[in-house]
Amino acid sequence: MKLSVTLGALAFATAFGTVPVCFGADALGGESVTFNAHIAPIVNQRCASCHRPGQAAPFSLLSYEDVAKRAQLIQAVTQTRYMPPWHAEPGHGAFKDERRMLDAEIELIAKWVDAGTPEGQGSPPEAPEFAAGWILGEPDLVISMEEPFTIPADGRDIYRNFAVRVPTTEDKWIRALEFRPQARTVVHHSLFKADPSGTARELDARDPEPGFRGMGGARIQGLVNLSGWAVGGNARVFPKDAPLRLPAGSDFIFQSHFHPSGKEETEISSVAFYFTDKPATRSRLGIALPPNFGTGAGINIAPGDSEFTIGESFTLPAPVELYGVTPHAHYIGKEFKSWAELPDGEAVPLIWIKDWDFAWQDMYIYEEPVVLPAGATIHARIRYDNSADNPRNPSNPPKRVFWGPGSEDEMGTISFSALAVNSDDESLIRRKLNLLRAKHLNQSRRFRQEMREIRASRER
Amino acid sequence: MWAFLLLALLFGGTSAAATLQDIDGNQHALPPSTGARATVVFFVTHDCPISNRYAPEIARICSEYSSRGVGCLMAYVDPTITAEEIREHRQSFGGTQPAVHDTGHELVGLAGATITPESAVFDGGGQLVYRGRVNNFYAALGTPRRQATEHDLRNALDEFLAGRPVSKPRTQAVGCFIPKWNVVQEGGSQ
Repeated sequence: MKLSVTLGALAFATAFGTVPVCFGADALGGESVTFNAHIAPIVNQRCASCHRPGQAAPFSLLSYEDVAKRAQLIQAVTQTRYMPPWHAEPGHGAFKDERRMLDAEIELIAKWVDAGTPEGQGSPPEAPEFAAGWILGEPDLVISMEEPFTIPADGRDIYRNFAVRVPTTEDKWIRALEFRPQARTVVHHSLFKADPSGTARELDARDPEPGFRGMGGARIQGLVNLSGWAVGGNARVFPKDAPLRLPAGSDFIFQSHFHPSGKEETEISSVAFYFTDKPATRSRLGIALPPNFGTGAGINIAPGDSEFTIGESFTLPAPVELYGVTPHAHYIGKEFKSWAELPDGEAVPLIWIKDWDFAWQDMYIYEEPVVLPAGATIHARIRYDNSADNPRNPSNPPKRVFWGPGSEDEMGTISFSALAVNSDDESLIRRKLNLLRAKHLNQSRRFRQEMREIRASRER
Repeated sequence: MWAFLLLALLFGGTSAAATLQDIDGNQHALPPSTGARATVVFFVTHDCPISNRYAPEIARICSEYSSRGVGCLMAYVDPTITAEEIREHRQSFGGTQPAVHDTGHELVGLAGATITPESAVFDGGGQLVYRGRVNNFYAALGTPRRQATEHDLRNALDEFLAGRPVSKPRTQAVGCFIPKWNVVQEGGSQ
């Protein structure tokens, strides 16, 4: 009896995402933690969507043997929260597909390992069923990379862009997207863009290998952000009244991150489109703080400096709904924090990433859109760690870092995908965002001049 | 070279009673003492991504040091896999080294290994002279560096081969804990 009560409480805590009470030995009534009763439900819910055959994770966690033989590893990676992989701090925005274990679940795993990983009586609960094929059903259109890309056995991580022609003759409205990698062990994430300009296709053609290099796409004007996918991610479904516009004649761009696995792999990524006939009644606003990937934010980071911070704020001229947020920096980006200050002074936390990992680029989608009133100010702060103590620092010893597109340069922005609550306010908000962009464009000219002077003086 | 090593494996080394049969049917003494100057045992699991990512560097080390009297032995330490799976894994990762299936964790115990990938260097007399990481490519789980800056195994081999004491005889490996599955403790090489 006592056991079922405990599990019920756990399910309750899970369903509501509340901070759980800790289950000490008392809560278990002296009964030992077993796989069948306690651990299998946690693993099924938190691990199995990736840790099953044919998915990205390196091994399955479905049976008692799968889990028990790796118990020590599972205990270690859950305690450090390396697994499940989730980089946003709890209490700073509630996001969809949050891959986060409760403290109580982590504690149960530790107790089970300490008890010698007993299997327990009876049988474990059935493993969950996962949809075969596309999660959202038959797509309206599937496109794939035009040439396979080979990831070598060894070497550095690879960041590469691939342009794919979309066979549409008119503008389309995308209600959902679903990504499917082929070489699941090496594809870490992919960001999706549409390029109506043809620039990406030219860059792709100019590069003799499939695709073209580049970290962030800041070189291409007019790119349309279409969200993305990271290991563990599901399909992206957009707000009903705000599908994304795919301009006619666009190229779709996969902006992908690969990590060599120890053996050569070949990737052909695919994406499935789900269209809608109903055009957006509201159009998406990009609120990027600072704008332009931080080109005008004065990024000039001394070697050894672990406290260098940039920031920007934006006061809303009209109410908006925030539905997603995409932080971006390169390797020495360390901490991202954003919050809204309401007119009455109340602070609404929006996102906090304490230990930024460039390898985990993601668009975080709010569980429920965050509605902010006119007069609310969104603040964004990004801190960098250019010290030798940062193992992700690409330069050893550290070097002075400026803004730039290369992997040893830095960028920084926290970019919100937003909708005006009233579509009539869109142009008002856009005008104010354009003013902020213009200010940063001006500043960027000055910073570029400073950078040239500093570099020239060091060369003399 | 390999014929010599094989002979050395069969007839040389210590008089240890215990042996391990590799997946090609050859016997290896315990502790591994090939009669060459040293033997590096690499503890690996077929499904640990960090272990797999080291396959190219392991191949380079074995190739570069073989002419200096260093033999290599791959120890697959997951007791639950089959010899066929080991063969497939070795082939797909381009491995050419002899491989044993350490189902009873005898080699694991001799070296005191806890992680895959982890390396252990035994001298010609079967003494453990180094155990730990291959290099510092991983600062932590999920935190690979751009490139390794400390090559602990190569340093240990260089010092040992130069007749110097190994300055860092133990280092902490980063990777997957060695899987435990007690049911097959008594298993043989299959």
